[in-house]
Amino acid sequence: MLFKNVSARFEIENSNSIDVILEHNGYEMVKKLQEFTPEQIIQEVEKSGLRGKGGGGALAGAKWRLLEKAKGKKYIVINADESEPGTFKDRSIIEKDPHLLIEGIILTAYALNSNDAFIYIRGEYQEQAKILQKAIDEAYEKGFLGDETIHKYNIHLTLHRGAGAYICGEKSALLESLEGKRGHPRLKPHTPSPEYFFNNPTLVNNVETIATIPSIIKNGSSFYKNLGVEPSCGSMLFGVSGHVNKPGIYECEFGVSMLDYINTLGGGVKGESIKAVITGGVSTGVIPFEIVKDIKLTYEDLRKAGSSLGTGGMIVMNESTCMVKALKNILSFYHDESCGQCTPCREGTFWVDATLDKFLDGSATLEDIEILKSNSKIMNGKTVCVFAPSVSTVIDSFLKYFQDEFIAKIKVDV
Amino acid sequence: MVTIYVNNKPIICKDKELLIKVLKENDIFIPHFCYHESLGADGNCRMCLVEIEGSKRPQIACDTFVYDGLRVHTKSESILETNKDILELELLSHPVDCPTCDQAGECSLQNYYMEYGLYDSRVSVAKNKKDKALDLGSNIMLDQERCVLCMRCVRFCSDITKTDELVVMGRGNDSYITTTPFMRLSNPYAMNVIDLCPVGALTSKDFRFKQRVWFLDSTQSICHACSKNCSIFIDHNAQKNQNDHVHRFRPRVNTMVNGHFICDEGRLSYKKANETRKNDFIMKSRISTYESILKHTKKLLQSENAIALVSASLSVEQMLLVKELSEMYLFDVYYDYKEDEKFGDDFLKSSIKESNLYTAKLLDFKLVDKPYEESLISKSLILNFNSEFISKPRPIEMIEFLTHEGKFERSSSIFTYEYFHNDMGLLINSDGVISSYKKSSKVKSEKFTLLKILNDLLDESYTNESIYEKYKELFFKNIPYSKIMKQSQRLGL
Amino acid sequence: MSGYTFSAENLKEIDKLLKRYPSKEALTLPILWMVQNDLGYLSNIALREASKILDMPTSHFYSVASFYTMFKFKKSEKVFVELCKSLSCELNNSDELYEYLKTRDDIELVRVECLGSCGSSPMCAINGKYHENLNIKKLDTILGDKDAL
Ligand SMILES: Cc1cc2nc3c(=O)[nH]c(=O)nc-3n(C[C@H](O)[C@H](O)[C@H](O)COP(=O)(O)O)c2cc1C
Ligand code: SF4
Ligand code: SF4
Ligand code: FES
Ligand code: FES
Repeated sequence: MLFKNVSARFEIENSNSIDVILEHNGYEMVKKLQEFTPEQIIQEVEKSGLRGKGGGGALAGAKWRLLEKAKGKKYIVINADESEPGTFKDRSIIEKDPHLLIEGIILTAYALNSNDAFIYIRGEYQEQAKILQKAIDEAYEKGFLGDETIHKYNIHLTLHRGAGAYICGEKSALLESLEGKRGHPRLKPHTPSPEYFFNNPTLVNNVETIATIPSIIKNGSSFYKNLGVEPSCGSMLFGVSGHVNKPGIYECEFGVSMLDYINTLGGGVKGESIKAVITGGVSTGVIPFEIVKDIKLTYEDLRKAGSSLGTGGMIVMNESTCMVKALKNILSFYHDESCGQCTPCREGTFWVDATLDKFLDGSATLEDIEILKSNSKIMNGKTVCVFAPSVSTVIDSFLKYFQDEFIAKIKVDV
Repeated sequence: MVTIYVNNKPIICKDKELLIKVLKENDIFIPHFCYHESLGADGNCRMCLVEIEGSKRPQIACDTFVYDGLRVHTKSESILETNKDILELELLSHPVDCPTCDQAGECSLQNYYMEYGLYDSRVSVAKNKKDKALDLGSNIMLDQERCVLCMRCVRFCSDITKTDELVVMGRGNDSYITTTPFMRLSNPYAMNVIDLCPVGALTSKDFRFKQRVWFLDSTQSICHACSKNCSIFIDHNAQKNQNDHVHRFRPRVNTMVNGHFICDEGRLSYKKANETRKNDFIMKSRISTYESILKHTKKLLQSENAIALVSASLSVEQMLLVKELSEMYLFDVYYDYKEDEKFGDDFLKSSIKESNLYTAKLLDFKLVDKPYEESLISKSLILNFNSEFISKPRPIEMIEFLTHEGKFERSSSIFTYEYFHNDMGLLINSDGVISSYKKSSKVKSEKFTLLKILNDLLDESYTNESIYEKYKELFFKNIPYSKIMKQSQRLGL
Repeated sequence: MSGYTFSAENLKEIDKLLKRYPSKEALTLPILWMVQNDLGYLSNIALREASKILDMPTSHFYSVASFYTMFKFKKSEKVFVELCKSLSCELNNSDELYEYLKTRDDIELVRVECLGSCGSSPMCAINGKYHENLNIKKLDTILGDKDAL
């Protein structure tokens, strides 16, 4: 079931050192860079069906094409903000194969005619930032980065640390933050367009997305396209945590069964049985066991189940889990992390979080269920960014499958 | 030009114009907090959501650009519910203390709240507590609990004055507006944030709790604190049986002059309107009557060798009548003005402190300098039309026309006349823009206007309009009076 | 009040970074980190110095810094423990660790959102360093060894 593509070198001892990795085909494609034209690389990515691994699952090639067509100085920004509960996959790449990421960045920059790339890493990843900085320094020393590179393409790579804000993973908030501002997401453009970093067209891609590029260039787009089940092509660093015996990151092709994944790779549920699974980080919905058992890990299957694949980080909950408490935990996360810019989210996340307290302390009434529902409605499709709609997804899924647990907490007047 | 349909009614407007602007210009109710004409869109309050045919989700009107055939709904059931729900959220942590709030009567939150009939609160969770009475500096008080975080005040300080005193601190529901350590709100335009604030979060210390706005009468006027002539509203007391009292000056939108703002010094110059001299007529240091001082003046004008000094802040019409008088009695008219380099800037404030210097020059009045001092020697009568620069080199007969306490109360004869806040007139600013200020119809005035006094001296009966019309071809590029009454007009420099 | 000076090394780093970014403003977070790494918190005096270097108003640094949970305006005098309170950790009994940590008065305790160790939960960061797969006993040992912190 395991399929090691991006994680191929994870088990190698000292895999984050450049000397070690150079003995294992490290920077192979970068060394051959001049054998490809930028257009060839873009086309390979387009043909591969690669989808963004940051949560949205947008086609990487289409996004690259937008940047390719844009005019002006171009920037590449790698999103390593990874802060969504249940998600810890990018961390594994940074810790275990940072040079793969750097190789991917060089290929991407070359393809898109950019000489400046940044990695925006969440502030809490201090150890990971050190590892990554060391890798970057090594790559400069070996002539893979800098003004005079062995592959004849100049590129600078700068590591930029965030400082504690989940919302800075949202691409436009990330760019605001990179510009030195508060991480407020921007209003969406009216027509398809790239992102902008100080008015310069910019590509924002997830760590894993970019770390996948070397394998696509090396093995050809059809190799990647044939993995998984179209249109969920390729493989992904799925992760599992919560009530399982072997939590962790395990790479698989798209299309494996969720239940098999949990039972085999995740070591099975800790406790009696699986009650429910949050499908891909806490911005996705929860599904009960009856649905879990028939789910294949594809974007389409999860969409059909009313949730989404998200970051691929599943959180398993066993029969003992109180779903009211679980929802409280998630809503409190959203309350803490809302950027506070727009009203429905700033006030709505506060209200639903406080309402969940009422369920837990026994003071909730039936009207509080309505309050959760109406807040879910007002947070859906009316805000600047999709942070708030995620809250709606979560609330709706909990109420859809577990409303009786909420009702059971309601105080009965005697 | 394109046609859009709002609630199925066609509206013709400029292509690619901001939808919210079109709606506002056409008086279509569109709730909003963060958008402001002077600051543009920020898109944070989400109050202005509208339904757009063909769009799955509601869209904010402040970030929608119109195109031909656009179909918008602001009154459908679902959009009204959305607006109402968002308003409910704005009120979530609001203290609902309208009875003690200065903004009551001019608060968007309160207006919308009534519009949507949001009377019964469903809120049963504890409100988020914040600071109630922060003194930010520049006479401005902040109540963070009333703030809806529209960021207008912050954007004003960053985008307009570029002084950056106000910031938003914290994140999410704990965000609040404040000044940072070592900073006070201290730019010369700071008080504009009070008008910009759509709710009662920012209020004037100067105005706090003094007056409920519904007892005020607003008159369209012009600030007289410098030669920029910013358009203002004068808020007077309009209660019966109360003496006229000016409570505040507020900026009045005039894209040709001041845009949306005025400076703090001009705003606070309302105080001068409450310090006018009492309604009296003085002859040789004694209280007299209008008739006798009028007679006295006419006699002096016939017998004496006169010279006149005018304040360069007199209105166009006042200056024209002074000119007529000078031609009748053959005397020279001088003016003087103060220049304050420290006051001027490249935004609104002009270093020239007189509000109608342009007209004084236009009418060929002479600047006070050497020749004035010299010619004084041969004169036996000085007429002073409200100039503060008057000096009295030697005992000499003097007739003064004053709005405020004069320097020579003891030795002059004085006509007291109405200050601009209770009068009407025209002014030309330092950029050559002519504007009109109006007289309140509600506030009763007790004093004579300078125009009436001058008419009596001339035995004429000019109105503001007729005296202007008489000279419009000669001096004012033939711009009709009625046009200026509607809107400022550019004469050019 | 004495002033604050950026170390020669930091100034060199700033110079290097200025070449990398399209605008000075982008150095806001890097410079805030420099100050915090140096002092343990963001002091008013240091922020004023930063504002001179980047040619930005000091208010900007306050507003920006206050958005991010990791920046501090006060120095922690005690061992700084950030206990993850998010879902995977909660499912693996982080509440128990919380009850335990609350009883210790030799630490400054805050509960934070997910730190990306869900696969090795429950976890906390002590003075910024991650400690994973925790239980009370393990935590007790770690906190007991003050020198290693
Ligand atoms: C609230 C929020 C948080 C996000 N956090 C992350 C993140 O931590 N890492 C990430 O790669 N993408 C995150 N995203 C998605 C990004 O906005 C963006 O789509 C992504 O970085 C694009 O890269 P990809 O196409 O390679 O996935 C987040 C989105 C939202 C709305
Ligand atoms: S939806 Fe929430 S996180 Fe997104 S911009 Fe609005 S307030 Fe910020
Ligand atoms: S104080 Fe007023 S203007 Fe400023 S953000 Fe709050 S509501 Fe808006
Ligand atoms: S006015 Fe449009 S979002 Fe505030
Ligand atoms: S939930 Fe605790 S580290 Fe992710």
